[in-house]
Formats: sequence, structure tokens, C-alpha cells
Amino acid sequence: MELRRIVRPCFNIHKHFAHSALRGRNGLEGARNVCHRVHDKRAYSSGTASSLEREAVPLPQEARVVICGGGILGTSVAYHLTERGWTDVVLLEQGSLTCGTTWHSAGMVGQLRNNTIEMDVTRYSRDLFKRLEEDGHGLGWKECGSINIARTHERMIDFKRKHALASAIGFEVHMLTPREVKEKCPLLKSDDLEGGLWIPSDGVVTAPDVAMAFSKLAKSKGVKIIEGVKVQKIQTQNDAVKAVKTSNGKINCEYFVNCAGQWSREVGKLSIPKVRVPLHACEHYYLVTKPLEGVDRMMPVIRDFDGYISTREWNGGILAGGFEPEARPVFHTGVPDKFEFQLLQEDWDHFQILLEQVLHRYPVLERAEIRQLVNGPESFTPDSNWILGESAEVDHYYVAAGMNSRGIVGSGGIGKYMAEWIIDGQPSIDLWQYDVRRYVGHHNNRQFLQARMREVLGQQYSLRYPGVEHRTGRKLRTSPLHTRLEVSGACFGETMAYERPMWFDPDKRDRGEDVYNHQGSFNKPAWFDIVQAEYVACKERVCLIDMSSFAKFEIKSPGKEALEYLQYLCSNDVDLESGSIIHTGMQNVLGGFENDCSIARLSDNCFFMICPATQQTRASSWLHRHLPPDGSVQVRDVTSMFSGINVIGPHAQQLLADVTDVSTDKKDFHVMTCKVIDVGHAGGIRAMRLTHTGEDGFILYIPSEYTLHVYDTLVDAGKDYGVRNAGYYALRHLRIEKSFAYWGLDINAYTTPLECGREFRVKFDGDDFIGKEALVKQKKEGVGQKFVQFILENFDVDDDVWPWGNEPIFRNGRYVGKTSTCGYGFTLNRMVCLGFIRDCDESAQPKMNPNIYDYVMDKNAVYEIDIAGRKYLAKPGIHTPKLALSVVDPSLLASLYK
Amino acid sequence: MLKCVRHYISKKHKGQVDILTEWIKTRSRTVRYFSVGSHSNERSNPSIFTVGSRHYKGLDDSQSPRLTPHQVTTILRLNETSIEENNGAIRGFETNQLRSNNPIEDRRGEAKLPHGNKYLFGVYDGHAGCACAQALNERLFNYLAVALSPSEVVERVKNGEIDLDKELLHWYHGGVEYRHSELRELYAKSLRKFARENLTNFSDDQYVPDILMQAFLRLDEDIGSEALPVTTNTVLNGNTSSVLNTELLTIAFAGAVACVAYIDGTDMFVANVGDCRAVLGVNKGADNWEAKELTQQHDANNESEVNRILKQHPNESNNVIKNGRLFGDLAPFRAFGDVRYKWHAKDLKHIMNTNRFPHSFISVYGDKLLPNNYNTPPYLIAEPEIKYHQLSPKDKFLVLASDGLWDMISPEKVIQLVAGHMDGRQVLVNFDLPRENMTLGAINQLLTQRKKSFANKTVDSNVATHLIRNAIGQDHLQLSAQLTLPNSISRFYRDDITVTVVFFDSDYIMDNVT
Repeated sequence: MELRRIVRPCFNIHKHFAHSALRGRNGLEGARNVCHRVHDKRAYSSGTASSLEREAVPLPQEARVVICGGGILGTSVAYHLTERGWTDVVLLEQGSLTCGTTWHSAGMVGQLRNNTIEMDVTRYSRDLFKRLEEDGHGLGWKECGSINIARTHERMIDFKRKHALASAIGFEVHMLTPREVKEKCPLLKSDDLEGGLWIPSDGVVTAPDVAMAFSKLAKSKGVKIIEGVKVQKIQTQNDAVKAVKTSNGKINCEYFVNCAGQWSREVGKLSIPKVRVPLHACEHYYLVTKPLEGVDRMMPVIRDFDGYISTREWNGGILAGGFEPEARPVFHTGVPDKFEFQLLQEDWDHFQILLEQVLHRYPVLERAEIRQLVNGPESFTPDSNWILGESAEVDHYYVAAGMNSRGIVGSGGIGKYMAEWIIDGQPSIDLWQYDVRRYVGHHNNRQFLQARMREVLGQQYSLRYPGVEHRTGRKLRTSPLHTRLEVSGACFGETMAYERPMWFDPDKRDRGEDVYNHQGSFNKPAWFDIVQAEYVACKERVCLIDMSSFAKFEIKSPGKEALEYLQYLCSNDVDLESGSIIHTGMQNVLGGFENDCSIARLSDNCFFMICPATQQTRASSWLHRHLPPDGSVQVRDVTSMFSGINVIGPHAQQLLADVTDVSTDKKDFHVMTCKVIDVGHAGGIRAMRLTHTGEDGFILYIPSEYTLHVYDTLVDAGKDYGVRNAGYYALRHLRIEKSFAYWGLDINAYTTPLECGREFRVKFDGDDFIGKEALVKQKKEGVGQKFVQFILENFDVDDDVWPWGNEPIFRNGRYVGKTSTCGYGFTLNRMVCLGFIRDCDESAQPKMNPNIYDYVMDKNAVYEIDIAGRKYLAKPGIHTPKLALSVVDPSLLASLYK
Repeated sequence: MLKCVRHYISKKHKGQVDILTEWIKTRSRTVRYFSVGSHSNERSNPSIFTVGSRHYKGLDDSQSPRLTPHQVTTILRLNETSIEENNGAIRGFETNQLRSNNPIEDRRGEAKLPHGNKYLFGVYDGHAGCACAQALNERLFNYLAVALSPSEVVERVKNGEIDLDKELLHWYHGGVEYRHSELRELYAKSLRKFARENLTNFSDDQYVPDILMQAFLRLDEDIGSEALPVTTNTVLNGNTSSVLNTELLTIAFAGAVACVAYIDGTDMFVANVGDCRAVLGVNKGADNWEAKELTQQHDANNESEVNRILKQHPNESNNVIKNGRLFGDLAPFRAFGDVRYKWHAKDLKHIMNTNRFPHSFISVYGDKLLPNNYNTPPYLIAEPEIKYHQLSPKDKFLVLASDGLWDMISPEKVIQLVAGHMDGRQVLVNFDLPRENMTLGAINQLLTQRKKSFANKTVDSNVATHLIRNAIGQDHLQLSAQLTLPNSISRFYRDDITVTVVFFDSDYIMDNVT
């Protein structure tokens, strides 16, 4: 079935055209024409000749880095490694350079994204393309600008949010009226538009020419680029890269970089242990028209998100492609090896939805003649983000793949940051949302990928509201309470495929609505009142919250090794009495949070560690990488063995007392201690007196098979206490109001304990630990950024667009940072935003400030937060507002800062 | 249960036997846990389990489908036939049958007269067993062929010089399987006699409806007379075996309704006896379809039929139609066979007297073989109502089906389903640009047209199967339930279904309509 769909239109090698005089500014077009029609004899024969006379580069026996894949990514990584001085690099390509998907890329370079990190990448790429073009490398760079257009009011909000963020970081972007859109692109129908965004510095390139330029530059610095060589095995020793076995022999190497594009998932299986690279190819379409009157060469790229389409000028005609809402995955049984310069059978019926929109936007195209419809495979990932970084499974095994059709625009920056990652061990910006370690095993399941891909392609353009979930591949990992909670009206959200109740709305279920997918909004969300009720119940009574998704690890050893090991990894002092719990970060050498966890010392040499669900792969990788080589310490991922119930609220103590034998009185069961107790008829429950939000309560880690019993026991016993279910949003609002930072949302590998007010959790006087040096330095010299809670003034919670994160923060009119998480403070009765702000010097570089507190809290400083184009006055705070703690038992306050 | 499934396995479908055998094995292990009771439960409480819904109340066996979708499809397709003809007005036809009775009591036949573009399509629905329907299938087309063929052909029939199955008629899908080889001889003899008389009365300007009428009536007459008691039987001359005799009686006492379409060029005649129906799908432009009925059902719902019977039997109105049935027993008011409503009382009494032994063919009637107040036979006729229709380019297809289909879905719905199916079938083929240098606007127009058709994309490529699937179930659960009904109750849920859909070639009709 799959094979039948493949057409083999092309017998020549494209690169020939990228360099030959045949090109001119329409290099790729020329190549395509030949690829599909094979009319031009000269091109055909010379192309064939060149493939036969492929330069025979002997395979070296040694190399520092071996890159697999000669597409835009592989060549860019090679080029950027040489830029950093690493030239002992071999790039292997099984076919010819660019023959996978790079050659049929449309080459649009759009820099505007909804987060500054990705814009760091795209802006770098664009600047690089421009520079290389100016240096005469012939990338086909054309700075025609681009216009994103909006058909709806909601889309305009999205534009305004992006506009606010982009402008704040100094990226030129303008809001346009429909009339202005029309002026910039007269062919376009504009009377149904709400407006547009003009990005003057955007442009287009000829994608394969970019790859050829990278490759040429890399080669000139000594990189060996070898085509026609297939990687067969990545040999490992002690779970680290040792050598690469190929169809032409073996290369011993230190680093391996998997840039194999749509083959990456398969290449991931070529090592022991296997490396997960969850991506899957989909059909991806564009059409090219014949030259058309009125099409200007400098016509801007148009992105009509609400019509799923984008267009650019192409050889006097229009190239129009897009992202249809329901995609079609291909290659279910793996990508064929010899899929070189090939396209898929085009399916006009499938393309029609895009064609209709193209004609709607450009009525003039009704009369245009078709030159070609291109259906090329393109790989997508479960969350439509790139897959970058060092794999969790094998040391020095790097991945850069899964471009989700943002490969060309990503290539420059990705190459740069991958080079940093390989050389420095960490890139200079936080790429966590693209990190290969954000996945767990199921993400690589092919059936799952197929299901998810149908949805992911369309998400490149669809309007994505905050907190909206994927509709496919759901209900995969569920806690033992799942069915019970579903019946009780849980509305679920997914993290790491784990279904977590976000809030409870039995009416929604009774109305027959989907409790796994939720209507999104930029404004006050539909769950507001419900979450408020849950919040209040947590503060005033007692709630049960399913915490099963948290990642859990057991660390033990025969002697003191586990303790020593953890002392080295943790910045807080883990050497406590048995039965105690400690909150601690695990820092990297820069002092940033690799992980943020709670560790309970179950016995002298046995520790139980809880960390965010998103840490499951990353934490495991970090722990395993630092294990002592003698095998004395055992680390076990016990996430699936235990489920978690948070019994939270002032009545939690009494409720638990009613169902267990041990005393839950605070003097017997101290805050931040852990006891193994019975609940109801069940035993072996690890009860921890802590919550993650500052309320009194317990988190019970229960052997999975007892979970239902324990839950039912608590529900029965809790009737008179008014016990109820609560979801994650209640937790989130509780902790945001108290200014508690969460790993992955507020803090990350680039923020230190000193920057987020947690120096009290750092053992400056204790044992050595990773990152201690950096933290000591910060303690001495100060920090360049500080975690701050802002309370918005004059914010109308009912009518205003809400902050959802990534809103720029201004201090005295100057951009100093952006929000990370936001929520409504139900006790403060104000909108609350969290985020880091920086103290920067004139050149916008953060400077170390020993008195950052004074800088932040300066009475004369005026803070404003821009939410979708409207600036709100914001009051800063560094500590938990007293009011937010108002209902908490005062005796608990001390424990918060333990 | 086992028996019913085996019935589905015909010799022609050995490939599917494995699947079914496997299924039979599983069923035979579990079937004893299910009683008829669980079925009635299923009907009374069908909403607990909705297929495709996320919220079902657990996996209750009695609410679960017993067949997989693949098995359902296999069963539904067992008897389907698809013929592409592309000759004259006939583009082709598709047929299928699904049994409810065991064995099935419906029959069907499709044949071409070798002389000219003349086609015969027949659907027969037997009652009181399949014997009479089987006989119609074996014989009626021969009678029609004799009546419709040129005299030289009839001459050869008369002389027994013609291979009836190969030369007189060209049968589709293998022709008729005869039930009894001795009967075949007898039938041939009767046919020769009919040919002889036909030649005697032969004239070139005979009116086609009269010809059809004559063949129908003659066959029914022969069915009756061949079975008459030996003493009065002129055909057999008293020297037939008693087995054969019983066989003939079985046929004559059973009954069958018939609907035959005869298409000659653009002339179409539909001859109908009983309650089968023929409906024409007429396209009135775009998606507007008319279901044009070419038949009237001869039953109690048909006022003119009721009047006809009451008029013929003026003093028996209290008795002759009771509960909408002839003598409270027979639903169709016209039928072949059913001699207990046609013969003289004395003949019937003779049969009763000579067949009073256990398991005789009349034992099913008990003492009621002879209806009460049986005063003025015949009460039942096999006279067809004949409708002529000149095919127009708007006539796209003809649906012939037994009442098993019409009981489940209306003619309008049937026409819609077939029209949709025609539409949906177009998109089974990948779209290629019909010509070079097309404009995007033109391409989009074509694609938009196809897009509508996608909604009609169907599981079954055979339209008769498509109709049967839609007739018996809305979803897989219903289909599975319908197809696993035990023999004992199946007939309460549905009748045997036979569907033949004939597709017309509008271009031919356009060129040839006079």
C-alpha cells in the first residue's frame, strides 16, 4: 500500500542544479521540472552522470563527531561545529545531500513565534542566511517580508500577543489593517480579514541551496561529507557512543548526531540501548502555478492561518501550500531506504481543502494554470516541536530531527545550539520544550504516532488556545482512580500521556461533552467558577487530588553510597533523620535546576524521590549518568508502582486520623516527614506530610493496587468533612498566588535557587555538589535575574484578555522579562503573574547585582505587563503575600521555608 | 445456529469457509449460554450499549456483537453478483440475496435472449417453502423466451433441437441449478407443448404485454395440471414415480410471487404477480431523485385488488379476506402455485385422502388444507399486472426486490441509497487531472463535485449488498444481531431479501429513444 503510493519522478541528482548554470534564481524550480518531466535531456543526462561519478571519499577510521543525514539539519550542525573549531567531523548521507525532504521544501523563512526561545533560533537562521547570501553563497535569499493574516477576532488576539512579545525583544513587526494588507499584496482578497501582521525582515530561500552552502562551508573547514553511505549501527560502550558501523566500514567516534530526518526514528533503533526519536512522516502538499500576470517577484509570503495556507512567489507564479486540519500519515511500516528525490503520489481530493482556500484568498488564481502539485513527506512530532539534544539513553548521542516543516527556518539556529550542546554540554538557551528527553516510551509507539500525526500537522496553523489538549492519542496512561474520577466529572488534561484531572464538572459530562477536550479561550476560562470552588475547598475544608502522574524514583545502596551519591547531586542537605523529607534542586554546573524534587529518606540507605511528571525521562537520565561506576547505588523508576493522592486542606489531618492507626497530630506527624502507614484495610502507604501549595495536608503514595480502596475509604470517611475532588488547576492557583515556582513552568536549567528565592535550600556549608561553585559565586557576586510575583492592577478578570505566560514585563518602560505562569488569586482577588526579571546593562546583557532585591522592589520603579497589546500596571513581590497565606494554620508557615 | 451458518457457506465461496468455520467453533462453545430470551432483552433495552460511544456501561456479553465487522461483511457478500454488460440500454446489474428462512425461499434470475438486446430480470419470493419459487426460476424465463423468440427458434424448441440453457437463453452467473433432473425432463416436455401451441397461434404483430401474460398464465396452468391427481392428469399419463408425483404436488401446493422486467432496447415491461416491487430511479437533475414505482403490490393494502376479489366472489366477503389475507392465511392476492386456492374442492379432497400419512407434504396444513367455505374457486390468480415504460435518459437504474427489502426501507430511501452509492463509487478511483493546462478554478470545481461524493463512499462496492446492509442495520451491533438470529426467530425480524439493481446507459437511451 505504502510503496504503491510512491512515485519515482526523478532520476537525477538535484544538487547538480543547485550549482549549475541552469539555475538562475529558479534553481529548484528548474530541478523540479526535470525531476517530474524528465524532458530536459541535458539536465537528465548530466544529472545521471554526476550520480555515477560521485566523488569517492574514503571513510576515515576515526572522527570526533559522526553526523548521520545530509539534509538541512546535518549540514548545518556540521557547519556550526566547524564555526566552533571542531573540524574532525564526518557527515554520512545514505543517498545524496538533500535527497530526503530538504530538496522539496518551500523555503519560507518566517521568524515570528509565540515564544522568544524559538525566535532566538529563527532570527539567528534568518540573519545567517542573509549574511551567507551577501557573501555570495547563493541561497536564493530574498527579503520579501511576510504577512500573517487573521480572519477572526480571536486570531487577532493571538497576533497581538505575538506582536507584544516580539516588539518587546526588539523584533520589528507591525500590525496591519486589512487595507494595509491589500496594499502590500494587491492580489489578495482582504475584505474578510480582521487584520494582519507585517514582518519586514522575513524572506525566502531555496532550501537545498542552503544545505549545499552549509555543506560547502563545512567541507572547506575539513568536514568529510560522504554520500552513499548508510549507517548500520551505533556501537556503544557503557551506554556511550563508541563507533558507527556503516555500509562502507566502521568509524570510531566520540559523538553521534542523528539528523536523519524522517529516518531518524529508525536510526534511533540502531544502537543498544535504542534511542527514542518519536516522529512520523505525513503527506505535505503545495502546488506551483505557471507564471501569472501581476505576481510580483517581491510579493511577501502570506500566511493565512485560518485558511490553513501559505503562499510565496515562485518563478513568476505562486507556490501555495498548507496544513490541512486532518493530515494523512505515511510510511506506516518505515520509510523506504531508497526514497531519494522522490515524492508521494499526489491526492487531489486530499489537497482540495487547501486549494479551495487558496482560490478564496487569491481569486485571480482561478485562471492560473497548474504547473505541479507536490506531495512530499515531512516528519512531525507528537507535540509539533522539534526534537533536539542529547538522548537520555546513550551518552554523546545527539538528535536533531522532527522539524514539523519548520526545518529550513530552524536550521541555522538549531545548528548553532546543537554545536553548543555537543561542545559545551548545554546550549546557551533553554531548549527544554524541544528536548528529546521530554518524551517517554509510549511517544515512540508507532500506532500512537500515526493517530497523533493526523492532528499535529494541522496544528502548525490552527489557533491554539492556552490549555487546549490534543484530541488524539489520549487516555493512555491513567491512574487507578481514573474511572472513578471520570464518573465524578473529572475534566482531564494530559502530561507525558498521563491523564490528570484538571477540574471537576459533572454537568459537562452529563451534557455529553468530551471531558478530554476543552474549549479554549484567551479570556476568562469556562472553568473559572469551578476552580474557585475547588480552591476554596482546599483552603477551608479538605480535597482529594490525584497526583499519580508525578515521577517517582527509589534510590538505595547497601551502605552509605546512596546518601553520598544524592549529596553530590542535590543542592540541599539530604542527610536527615530517617523519615524526613527535603525539597531540593539538582543543579547543573551552572547552578541551574536540572530537576526540582522532594526526597524522603525512608531508611538510612533508601530514598524515595518525587519530581514533576515531565521529569520522568530527564531525571532518570540525569540520575543514571551520575551513578557511581561500581554499581553500588541502585536507581529505580517506580512511577507506575505507586499512585498518589493529595489529601489537602485544614481537615486533612483529622480525615486521615479517622482511617489510619497512627496519630496525625502535628506533634506526632511532623510537617516534612514521611511514615509508612495503613489506610483502611490497605498497608504500605507512604504518607508524606506536605503539599506543594503551602496548605496543610498529606500526599499518600499508595501501592497501585490499593489506590481505589484508599480513595473510597477517604471519600466515605470524609463525607462529614465536606471532602471533594479537586484538580490541578486548583493546585496551580493555590501555588501561583503563593509565588511558588514550578520546575518546567517557571524555573529551569537556566535559573538557580538564588534567583528564585531558594538560597535557604542550598547547603553552602555542606558537602560538595554539582553546581556548588556557580552558586557560591552567585552568592558572592549577586544574580542577574530574580523570580518575582506580580499582582495586576486594573485588570478586569471578566472582560480582559488573560495573561497565559510569555507576556512581556516592562520596568520603567524597558523590557526586563516575561511572565512564566499566571493565575487568578482567589484570596487576593487579583490576577497574579510569575516571572523572572533581569537587571540588564546598556547592551541588554544581564549584570550580576548583589542587591537585586532593591532593584526589583525599588519604590520608584513602575512595572507594566503587556497583555495582547494592553499594558497593565503590576505590583512586584518577592515573597509570598501574607494575605495569600491567610487561611493557613500559622504553625505551618515555618515549614514552608524549611 | 450451526446449521444457519453453514447455510451461508456455498460452494462458490470456499475462501471464506475458514473464517466461518472458525467462528462456528467459537460459537458452538459459547452459544449455549445464550437463549432466545437474551435476544428479546436486546431489543427491549438497546440503548445501554452504543457502538462508538465512549461511555458505555461495561462490556456485557448480551450487548456485544457476536460477529466481527469482517464476518458481517463476508456474510453479506456471500451471494453478491456484479455483471458489467455495456450492451444496449443495459450498463450492467448487481444482485444479492440474504436469507432469513432456512433454506431461503427467494429466487432470482437474470438472462439475455440471444436474439437482440433483450433482457429478463426476475425476482421470485416463495412461500410455504421454496419449491414453487424454485420452479419459477427454472421455468418462467423459458416460457417467456418461447413466447418472445422468433418462430424459427420456437420451432426448434418444439422439436427439442435446442439446448434450453445455452441457446434459448443466455443465463448469467451460471444459470439455473435444477432441483430434480427428472422434473427437468417433464418441464421440457411441457415447454415443447407450449412451443407447439405458440407456433400455431403465431403472428408477428402480437402485443408484448399479451405475450408476457400468456407465458405467465401458461406456466401457472402447467404447474397445476402437472400435479393434478393421476386419474385426471393428462401430461403424465399415469406412469410417473410417486416421488415425482409428490415433488410436483409440493411445488403446486407451495406458492410464489414473481416480478419480471423485460427490457428490449429502450422498451421496458414489468410483469408483476404478488408483492415484489420494481422501482425506477429517475434523476430529475442534480441530487433530485424520483422513485417511480412500476408495480402495484397485490395484497390487502391494494384497494383495487380487494375489490377485484370481492367482485369475483360476491357472496363471500366475510370469508374470503380475513385479517388482510386470503382466507386469513395468504398475504399476496396473486401468486403462482397455491393450488389450494385454485383447484376444485374435489381435487383437494382427493389429495387429502391419498396423502394421509405422517410427514407427507400436506401434513403442514393439518386438517385445513381445504379452506373453510371454499365455494367458488379459483380465488387466486397468477395473472400479472404489466406496466410498459419507455426508458428515458433520466432513468438511471431499476431496483427489483422482494418484499423482504421493502418491508425494511421505503422505495424513496432505496433510490437515494442507490444514487448515493453510484456517486460514492466514483471516488473510489484516484483523481487524475483530466487534461493538461487546467486552471486551478476548473480543477477545484471538479474536486468540489467529488467531495460531495465522498460522503457517499461506501463499504460495499456492490449496490445490492449496500441496500441489504442498510436495510437490516444501522450499525455493526444491529447487523451482527440480525445475522446471528436463530432460525426459529429470524423470520420474525425480517424476511428473505433479494435485490437486483439494473443500471441503464443514458447515452444509449438518449441516442435510441424514438
